[in-house]
Amino acid sequence: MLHYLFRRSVALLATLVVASLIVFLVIEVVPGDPASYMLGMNAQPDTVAALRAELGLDQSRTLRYLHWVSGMLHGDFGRSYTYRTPVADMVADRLWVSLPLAIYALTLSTLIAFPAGIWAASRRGRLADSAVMGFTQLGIAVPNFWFALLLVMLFAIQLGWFSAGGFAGWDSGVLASLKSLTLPAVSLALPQAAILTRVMRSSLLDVLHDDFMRTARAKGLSARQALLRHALRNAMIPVLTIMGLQFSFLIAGAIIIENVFFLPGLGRLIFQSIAQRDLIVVESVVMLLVFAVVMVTFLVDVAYAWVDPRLRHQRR
Amino acid sequence: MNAKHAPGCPLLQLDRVSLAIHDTPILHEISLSVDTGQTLGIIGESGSGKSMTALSIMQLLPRGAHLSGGIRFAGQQLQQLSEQRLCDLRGSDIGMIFQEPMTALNPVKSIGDQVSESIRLHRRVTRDESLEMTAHTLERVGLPNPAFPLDRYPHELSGGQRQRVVIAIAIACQPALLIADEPTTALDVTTQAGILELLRSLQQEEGLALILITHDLAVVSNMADDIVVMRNGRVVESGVMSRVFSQPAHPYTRTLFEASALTQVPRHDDARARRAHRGRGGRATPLLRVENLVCEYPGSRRGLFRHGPGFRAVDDVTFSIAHGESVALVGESGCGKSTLTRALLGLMKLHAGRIELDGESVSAAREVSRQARRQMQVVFQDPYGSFNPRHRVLRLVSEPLHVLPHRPSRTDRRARVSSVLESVGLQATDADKYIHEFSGGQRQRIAIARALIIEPSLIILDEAVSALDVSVRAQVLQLLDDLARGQGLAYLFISHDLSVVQRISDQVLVMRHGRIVEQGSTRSVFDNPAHEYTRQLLAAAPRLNDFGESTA
Repeated sequence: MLHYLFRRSVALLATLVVASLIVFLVIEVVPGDPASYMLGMNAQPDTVAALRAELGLDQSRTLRYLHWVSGMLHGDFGRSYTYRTPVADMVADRLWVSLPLAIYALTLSTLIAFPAGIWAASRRGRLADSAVMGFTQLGIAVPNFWFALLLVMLFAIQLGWFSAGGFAGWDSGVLASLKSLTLPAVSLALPQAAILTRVMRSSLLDVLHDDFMRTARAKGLSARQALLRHALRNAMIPVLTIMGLQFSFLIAGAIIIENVFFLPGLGRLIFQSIAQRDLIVVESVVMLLVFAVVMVTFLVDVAYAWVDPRLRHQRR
Repeated sequence: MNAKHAPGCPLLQLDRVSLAIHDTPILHEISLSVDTGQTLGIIGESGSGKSMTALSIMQLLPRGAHLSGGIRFAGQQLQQLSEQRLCDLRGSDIGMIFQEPMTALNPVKSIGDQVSESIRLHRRVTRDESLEMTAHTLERVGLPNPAFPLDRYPHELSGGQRQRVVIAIAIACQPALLIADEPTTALDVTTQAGILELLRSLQQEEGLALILITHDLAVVSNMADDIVVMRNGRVVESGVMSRVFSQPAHPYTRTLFEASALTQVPRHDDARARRAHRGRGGRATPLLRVENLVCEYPGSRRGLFRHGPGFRAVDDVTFSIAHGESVALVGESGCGKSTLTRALLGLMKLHAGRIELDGESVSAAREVSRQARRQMQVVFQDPYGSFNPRHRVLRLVSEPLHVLPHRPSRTDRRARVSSVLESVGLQATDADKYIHEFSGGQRQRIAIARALIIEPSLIILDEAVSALDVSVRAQVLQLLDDLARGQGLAYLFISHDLSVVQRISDQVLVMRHGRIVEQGSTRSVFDNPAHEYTRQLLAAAPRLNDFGESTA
């Protein structure tokens, strides 16, 4: 078990190093000098040079890379070229919106997808199955921002249960904050739940044909008990994989939903930074996302090992 | 024993049971019975409906199944019971063992969990009591506790050990009836002997009724009191075993016996005829020579650049095959015979030693010459998995032609395929069909045709008849025999089954732990086995009882 996790963490650490190199180099080759951009078109060359020196842009690439990486390890992401504030603070503010939103959406999607997928699989080919499959088709086909608009029209404008947008801020209380995240989370969760339901169903159907399911039935388990006790855990590997991918996507990919609901999330930050050529913010946010993806992958790996003993005992 | 039933009435009785699945008839008026303390053998080839009979008794039929007739167990009609009642019965009063031990256990649950689940489901016991009973049950099936703790997972056990766990699940609640569906078909001979012995002792000690379903006459002949012979969903013959064995009434039963006997009785005159043929060829260099061959798999990685000690799968193996000679390589799973095959085919790096085909060196280190390639062809075990289902037979069979120096023209190719299909007993028109249109035996004929098309001198048959039913197996062996005599082919026959080998081979190599422990002429190895392991293998192989001779 430890051996397996150790090997996985080494691989993920290597991913982080490679990713940081690529991010750094890509930003290097992008045209546009941040210093001249910050000072505007009419700046004097010596002013630009002075700013370049202040920002450390005149150092060698290797040095700047090492400086950047060691800074990040200490939690220092540099200063935004545009706002002149520490990037770490900006990102932290946004993360307090994006991370809870992602967790909220994933929780909802899991709560919908697990029962729906299990139900559809256990009633394969019957009305319930067709109905669930029909809804998932709809959930995949309809874009989430459209869902979002419908939700706003119904729950915010018609019924007035939720506000149509904006974020209350955690200072105003956990409940108020969660309430303002509810509609965005639902609109993010529905399409994901649709995909997850399908994965759950097809993975379960594969397992239901395995020989050990027959053994379980011969033992005296009812079809339902056999499914819950024996099939579910065996069907989890593909489901966990998809959940990992979905969570990684949710952290930064919620940009459209953030825009629809005026949420100050990471997606919007990255969009603004790109528009303003605030490369240091882009760099930091991308690295942060890579780190998040790597962490999620690691958690998924841990979950694999927990689900499947064969991975725990794997030697090679 | 928790099943009470009226005296004078057998424990289980099937009365004219018919089964159709989605209107396709599967079983026709099956009648059979088995009583406490008895063993009933159900014999039949694949597709005869024997497994469906077992699943009918368990009431675990696929959806769309329509069952008629009466299934009476311990005085109650099973079809009339509620699903809840049936669940109480399954695993408690009726236990079942399946064919494929490798996949019959849940891979993500420990063996202790899987056995104790059965107990907790049917008995009102605490967790501790159930674990104690589980340990006891595992001990009964030959998996005692210190060596096989309850928290073992299936992947840590061998096939035979897994089958013992499946048996433990089935007998954990002391059922009155145990159904074993091909319990040893997937196992090695020595393992098979152990499992059969276990079933026999369980049956005697617990006094349970046992239904043993198998395609192998030799297996039932040592176990059963009564037998039922099935074919195409019907019972063709049934009765006391000694009577059926000595005086088979139905022609199919007789065919079955002859086919089984055919694979078992050696035909030394045939072997002599082959040797005579070879003498006419009169070539001095052996067709295949393997000298001091060593193949190793790298050990598990210990660091970035270090490996642990490797595993030597083939260890200093030397043998040769003459032109037209048929050599058998026998060994149980894990003995290294598959690795040896891969090395011969040039698919595996040789660690040491050399392989010469007709005097030319073959090794994976350099490209095997096409000249060498066309001398040697292979036929694999699985007639279902070794063909691309999207290609027609014409393309499948003509595939090896690309190793020829000049590609034959389209018409020439078709002519060759036609003639080779006819030589394996199929028709030229079969070339335009797809593989799923053929039975297992026909597919294996097509595989042989594919090997024959470039007129090789040596065919490697890797468990080529293991998956076939006895009567089909006898036909395929006969075909191989005819081809050898007609075309002077040499065979390397790789098998775990001694009885098959005895019939077809001139020479036998017995392999164990990567080494050849015994080699010699087939007759001398079978009549006077020199090595202890060969003797074990011979003793473990189930044989047809000599009812015929003793009663005649």
